[in-house]
Amino acid sequence: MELARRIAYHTQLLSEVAKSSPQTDVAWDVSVVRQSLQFLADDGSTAGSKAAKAAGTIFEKTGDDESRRLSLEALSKINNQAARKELLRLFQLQPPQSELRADLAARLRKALTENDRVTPKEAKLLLSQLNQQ
Amino acid sequence: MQFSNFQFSIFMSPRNSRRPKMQNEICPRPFANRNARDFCRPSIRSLLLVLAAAAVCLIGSNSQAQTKRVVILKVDGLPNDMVDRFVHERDPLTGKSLLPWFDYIFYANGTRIANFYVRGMSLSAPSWSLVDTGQHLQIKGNVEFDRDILHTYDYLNFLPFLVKQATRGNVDMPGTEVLDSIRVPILIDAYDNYQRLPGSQLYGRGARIKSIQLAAEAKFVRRNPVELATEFLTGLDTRNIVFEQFERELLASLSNERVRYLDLLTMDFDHTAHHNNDRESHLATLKQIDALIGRLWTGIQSSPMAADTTFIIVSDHGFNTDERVISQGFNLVKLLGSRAGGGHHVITKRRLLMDYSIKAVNPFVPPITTTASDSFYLKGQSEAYPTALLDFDGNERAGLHLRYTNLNVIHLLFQQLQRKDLSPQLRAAASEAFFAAIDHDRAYWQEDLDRFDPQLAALGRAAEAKRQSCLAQPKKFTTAEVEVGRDDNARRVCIQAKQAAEFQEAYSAYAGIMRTLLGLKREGFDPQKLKVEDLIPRDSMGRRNSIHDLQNYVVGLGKDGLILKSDGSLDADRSFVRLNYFDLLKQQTVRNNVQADVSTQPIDFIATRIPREAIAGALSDDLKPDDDVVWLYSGPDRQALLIPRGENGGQLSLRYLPIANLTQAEDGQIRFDRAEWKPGLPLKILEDPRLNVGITERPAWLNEWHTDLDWLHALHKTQYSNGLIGLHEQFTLFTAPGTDPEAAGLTPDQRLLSAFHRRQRRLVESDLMVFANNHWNFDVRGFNPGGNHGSLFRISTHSTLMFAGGERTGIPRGLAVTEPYDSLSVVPTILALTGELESDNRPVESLAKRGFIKFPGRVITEVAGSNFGSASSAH
Repeated sequence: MELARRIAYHTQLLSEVAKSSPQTDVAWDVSVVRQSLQFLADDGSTAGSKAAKAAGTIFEKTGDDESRRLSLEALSKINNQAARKELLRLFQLQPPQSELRADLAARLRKALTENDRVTPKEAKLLLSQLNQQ
Repeated sequence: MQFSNFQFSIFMSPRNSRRPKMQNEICPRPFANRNARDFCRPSIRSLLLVLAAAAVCLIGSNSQAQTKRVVILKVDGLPNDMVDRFVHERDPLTGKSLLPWFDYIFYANGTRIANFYVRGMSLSAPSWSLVDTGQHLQIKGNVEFDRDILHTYDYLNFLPFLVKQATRGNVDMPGTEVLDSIRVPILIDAYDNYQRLPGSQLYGRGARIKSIQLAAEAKFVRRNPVELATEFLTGLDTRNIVFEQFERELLASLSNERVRYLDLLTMDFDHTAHHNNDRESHLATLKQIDALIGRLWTGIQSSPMAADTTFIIVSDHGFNTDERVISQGFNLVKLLGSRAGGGHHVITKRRLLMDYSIKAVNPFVPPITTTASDSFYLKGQSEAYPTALLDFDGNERAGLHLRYTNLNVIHLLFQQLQRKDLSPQLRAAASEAFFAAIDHDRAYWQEDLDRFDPQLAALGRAAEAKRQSCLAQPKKFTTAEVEVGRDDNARRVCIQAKQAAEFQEAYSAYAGIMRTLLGLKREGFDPQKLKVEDLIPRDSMGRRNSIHDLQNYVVGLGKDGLILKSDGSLDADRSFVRLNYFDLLKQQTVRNNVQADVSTQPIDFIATRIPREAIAGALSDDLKPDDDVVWLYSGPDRQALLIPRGENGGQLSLRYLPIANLTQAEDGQIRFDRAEWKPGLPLKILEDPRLNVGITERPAWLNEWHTDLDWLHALHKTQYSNGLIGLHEQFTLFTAPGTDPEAAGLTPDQRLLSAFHRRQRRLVESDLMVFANNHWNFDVRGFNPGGNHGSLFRISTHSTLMFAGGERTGIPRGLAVTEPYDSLSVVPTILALTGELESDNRPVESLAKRGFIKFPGRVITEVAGSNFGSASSAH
């Protein structure tokens, strides 16, 4: 119960961060954002799609390397369909041959292997996207 | 140029030892050390270091800097102090400023002008005209009335303009049309049509009808139907749909390198603050504006011209809003309509609260007449013969036109002469008085009409020429022609032809009636055979009242009607009821005031212009003005004259002369008593603790002539701030390129048209400007309890101006300029940034060809550097 409440709090805060400003670092103290992302990265396995979308958006809107790293960690930890969708979206945004793109591909592959609730259809689709590009 | 790691102050050396010393702090703050940003603690060493750095940065580095694109966010009514307060408050949730984007863009990475003031009244239409043109004031109210024909210039009414645009009518907003007629260009005219993307604004060119269509599509068509239905059920938010589309288009246009000028106007804060005085309402709106500037800034940063783009936020005025006080409304319309107030039928451009009904939502309102129930002599004639025009916008001030008092006398006497029951003695006396009243102004009217006739003939020729030109305009335009605005130009020609013809017709009708009046002969005069409308123009105020007229204003007949003297002539003193409008207005009190901080007297003071030739004889040689004087009235023994000198020579000096008991005799002679400086005079200068002149030096300093800049330095932090300069700006009849018939190189018709336009501008001048006491307002549409503006109070004139730019613009970072500036500085500073201003404040040749002339305002050198004028034009 306590965990669910804390996840809800951090999800709410990160959603607010994600939608409030085109550059999160201007409108939010990075330590506040990092704290919530860190929580999801550590204990966010039961977080919902809202948290995943917020983490993906923050990854795009922040210039803080640590926040970006924690956003990806959080997505990996959440590892639900929305989180995988966000990882794929971010993967597609990266230039070919980039280090980040490779990292995102690795995270997606790992996400597929670590989550046995991924449907074969989704797994096939994801892998085809990863292999395609 | 980065100042961000310094913390310093610069103390400007005064040019004149008697000038109040002005501390011009420039206090950039370290980005990292947030606590330091509120303080400026200069040490001698840091001072020297900083002086050197500033000299290098402000003079040297700007030689290479140039802005190639300008993005301006115009925010109506944004008070600098409120923004500053919220920027310095921390949001416990985010750990950042309550206005993080203001903080980041303009406080940490830009330059803010901490003491930026409206030069004139804190009112949108006049103030934006100064900000948009950089030239002296020509438009002096949100609404202006033509005294001759009651043509109404409503500068704020956007909706009729949009409809006209959509139906292929007017191309430009009314204010722009007026400025065009007197050849005062606005900043966007510095750019070709394809180079600019201006938003919807008071001085707008063209309306983006396509954008409005797209806005509607985005809101209603290209949306998830379920989402739309949900919004419909919970309340459809339509207020910002057009603005949001404009924002989208602005952001999209940032990628187009041909576009060099973009702006947006938001009026949200003004609307909020008029109705709400609570912190949360203000903050909520400011947060929306903060988010908007964040989006714009982010868009600029990701655009290809980011390094060359200057982003500016500017406002037209501040706002007098206070959480502890409800702004109180005083109904001047009701006063003027009452018997004590003169029983006037009053014209306004805004519908009164008492009349609110479904018709009040109609934006296409003609002038609204409030019929006096107590009219002395015009019962049932309110539509034909209004006798007062009131513009109360803003609402801490009201411009009041009263019908020329001698027209009232003529009207009253004519009504009496039409009676069949008048005794022969009275008839003879009234007839004599009637013709004497006409003779009183005969010379003036005759000369005025004799000058006016050739002007109207020239106007008719111009109208016909424009009509022919309109007929010759192509009906279709290629994409390339549309891009450079040839379609709009073609429509402008047609609109100008139509407007010129309409003006010619209306003024000709007015002139014809006045000629009939002047043509009346005593011999054979039979009032029964005449109609009043054949002699006295309907919907006309006549010439402007003199001080004597306003002190002895005829509102009707006395209770005993016409009275004869013993010699058989009419006893004018006893026959007519006269009012002194200065006393009447100033003496208004209310009994239902429940707020301790609000005076029971709604009116602070009354101001009016006295022509130089009328007052010069009453002034000693050391006080002789070379332009018109402003008289301030706050009671018989609390009056002042503002006397100007030297404006035409380029160095305006002003003198504040305390006086008492000013009167004007019927022969025009003005008398007054000189008075000593004392507390309670208009503008309350002497007693103001923030007057930047030592206590002991004050009387001597205040009794001298000073330049407008010296006054600004001394006054700007006082309760009325730069009001003294603002009053001069408001009441001076400045000559514009299109109102100067003496200008070189004009054809005869151009001279006549210049004289015509000068006359038109003078016709809109009100008799009196009534200024409200603090926390009072004259709005009778609603009570605007949240707050108001329009006055000369610092809280209303202290406005917002901030700059931030890309790395090649040279805009200093983290700089707070405390040197005071006013509205006239905006345009020359922008042109200095874009390399289009010469060092003597003249525009570069390419802009001179577009009609721009030398700018009277100071360039903000802390922003643009002091070596502007050496760069070539950017486009």
